[in-house]
Amino acid sequence: MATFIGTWIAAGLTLMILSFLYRDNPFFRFAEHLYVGVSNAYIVWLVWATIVLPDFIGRVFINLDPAKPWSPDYWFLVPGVLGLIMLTRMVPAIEWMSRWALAFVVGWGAGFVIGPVLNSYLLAQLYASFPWVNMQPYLGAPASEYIPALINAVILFVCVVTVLVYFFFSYEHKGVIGGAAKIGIWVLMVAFGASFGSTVMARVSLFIGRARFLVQDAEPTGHAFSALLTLGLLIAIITAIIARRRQPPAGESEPAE
Amino acid sequence: MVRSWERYLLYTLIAFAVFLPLIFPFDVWPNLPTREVLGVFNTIDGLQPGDTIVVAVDFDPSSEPELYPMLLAVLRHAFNKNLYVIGINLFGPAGTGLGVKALTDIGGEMGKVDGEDYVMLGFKPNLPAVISQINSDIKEMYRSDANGRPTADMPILQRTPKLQGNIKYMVDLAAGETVRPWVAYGSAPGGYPMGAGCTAVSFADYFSFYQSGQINGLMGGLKAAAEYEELVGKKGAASAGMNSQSIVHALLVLFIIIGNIIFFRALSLKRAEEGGRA
Amino acid sequence: MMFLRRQLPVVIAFVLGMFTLVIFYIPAAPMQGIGDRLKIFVTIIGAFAMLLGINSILGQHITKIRKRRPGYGYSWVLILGFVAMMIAWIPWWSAPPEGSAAYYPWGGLENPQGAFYWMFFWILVPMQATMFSILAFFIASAAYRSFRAKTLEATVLLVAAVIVMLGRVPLGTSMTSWLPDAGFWSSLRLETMTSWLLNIPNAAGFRGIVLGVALGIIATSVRIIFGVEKTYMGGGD
Repeated sequence: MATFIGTWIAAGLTLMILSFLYRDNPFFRFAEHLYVGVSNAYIVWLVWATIVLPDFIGRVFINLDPAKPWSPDYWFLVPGVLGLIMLTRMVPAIEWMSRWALAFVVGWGAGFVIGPVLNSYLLAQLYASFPWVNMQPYLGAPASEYIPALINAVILFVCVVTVLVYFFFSYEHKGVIGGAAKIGIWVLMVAFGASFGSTVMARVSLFIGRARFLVQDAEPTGHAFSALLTLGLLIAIITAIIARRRQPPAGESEPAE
Repeated sequence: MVRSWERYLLYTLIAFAVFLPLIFPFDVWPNLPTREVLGVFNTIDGLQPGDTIVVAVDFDPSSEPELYPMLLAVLRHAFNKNLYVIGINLFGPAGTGLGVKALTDIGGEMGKVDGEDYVMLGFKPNLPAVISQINSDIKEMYRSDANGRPTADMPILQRTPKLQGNIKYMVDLAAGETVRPWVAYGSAPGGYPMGAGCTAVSFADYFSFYQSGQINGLMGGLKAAAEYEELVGKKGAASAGMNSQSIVHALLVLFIIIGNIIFFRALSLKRAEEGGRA
Repeated sequence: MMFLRRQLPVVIAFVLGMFTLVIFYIPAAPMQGIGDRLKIFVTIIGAFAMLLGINSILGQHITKIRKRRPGYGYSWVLILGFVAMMIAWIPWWSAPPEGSAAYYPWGGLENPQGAFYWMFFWILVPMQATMFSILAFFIASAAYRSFRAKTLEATVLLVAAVIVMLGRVPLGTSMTSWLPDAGFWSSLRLETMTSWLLNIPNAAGFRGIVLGVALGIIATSVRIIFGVEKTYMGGGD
């Protein structure tokens, strides 16, 4: 029963949000506000039940597992107090106190990330760009494998170098540097093109996921339900188009991307 | 310039292209497995029963259609191989719920026990801190799992008190910028191999890490999820969506071509006009 | 007073930053113990910070209701949604899940029969997923409008995008499946082209970006540690 009601509510809310495709409307705004309210309450649960309670209160104030011996660890008053200080942001008069907590977290992060980023982002990435590194697995391979791999390794190296030239010599694009930077732009265009093509795929997949929920997952009521919904959706869109074409054009209102 | 009826026509066509193949499913086009997905599959397939892997549920409902099927397929594969699974979520709070559900559903289906064969560690803020801490001690960071059970006596965490040296593989199913931090703070210092699954949005970004071998497999978007489902031998949500995906892509390419033809015709007409005037 | 407001945060950031930087390179055991503890500290502080966003959203909407600004009815919906989810958290009916800790409020996600779990899976998840699925239509219309082969660079971008869009779906790869799958002609198959495109030029392009990002992160971190970069403290004094 709970699943049955849930399916209908979820399907209804899904359609309410999809109605934004026509234009901003009361149904969409209702669903949007409901979503924000519910998700914020969820975050309250998560912060309290899975972090503050076990990690802070359970260490300092109460024994959450009475079957076990326990002694308070007062060191954990430090993050607790700093966390409460963080909350002074809510009070404009003493807002500045929250800087201590922020400085604690930001300073910690600043020192912590340097080493790993240097190793994994910078050195490992640079190292893997060199042709002789990438050719290691192909040593002793037959020529039919070795030569294409070599060509690819060299192309990769050239691509990386030209992109870096484009990034770091942005002041002067003349001569050899200019030519390299030009190739660098093309390499970046391929990368952005690939990324864009892939992004289209992702967005479409998300809609497919929702469509699949409406058509296939809505099992308790079977396919009649889903067919009805689909039909309704399409009729709504078509009616919207007709209604809009009959109206005098009220200016192009492109939705924000 | 796109007139509004053009936009609605495009919307309607996309809606049809998505809904019709879902209502009337067919199976014509084979989904060929790619090298990147096989990287993850073969690594998990080569592990011994009793090995432990980490599956990071680093996504939330906004990319659920792409990554949830992937998560189910990976879990099914892992449980089939009798591996122990540690789930964790460090991306967005709502991912914890999805991880709990996936592990409970697939674990229940395969007869696995929560806390014994798998555990879902919940969400914590500050990615670098959490990753590097669980590398050296999980139970200090996670005093309770996502279900509020104390982790102190949990059998799976007795066997695997820390990630470093104890786990054989780590798969990050990422909706955002979590793969690179997992490499930098987790896999590289901890010395365990890592694979990634991501939304198609960030799929292209991670090839620089795949090429360098910092991740040994990369699953991107719904297509990769469908491939994995086929490799595991249980088609599910992702495979069901591939037809719609195909048709929408073909439609879009068609629209792009039409758009360009219109654009260049208008351009040449304009040029001819200007030439006539001059 | 001025010291507490302006200098103390910089001092805190410097001490913490230097400490974590040093223990990365000099991993002495007692220092590691403190380092591990600090990692737990920052996650706990981060958890409190997550509450800030909630406070500001709720505050905004409560003011909106109080002042009866246009659309305040929707603010009621938001508040009601929040309150309903909080009430759903209370463990009304069922017993705590097996093995849970004594003081644990078991009405949350760990209780699959509870109202909280129900609201999470039937309200929060579908809505968040749908919000982002709308983008499918917008990106399609964006692709149609803006993909014009006006310049050489734009053409390169366009061709790469089209190859990836076709090479990543079964329909696209089926179009060239009549080509042999080995030898020279196989490199004209769409999936081979896509794979090459992603693995060589695309990887190189994004590597350039990663290297830039890495330098940026390191530079910003050093600036924070030495108190040059203070934007995280916000404006004012």
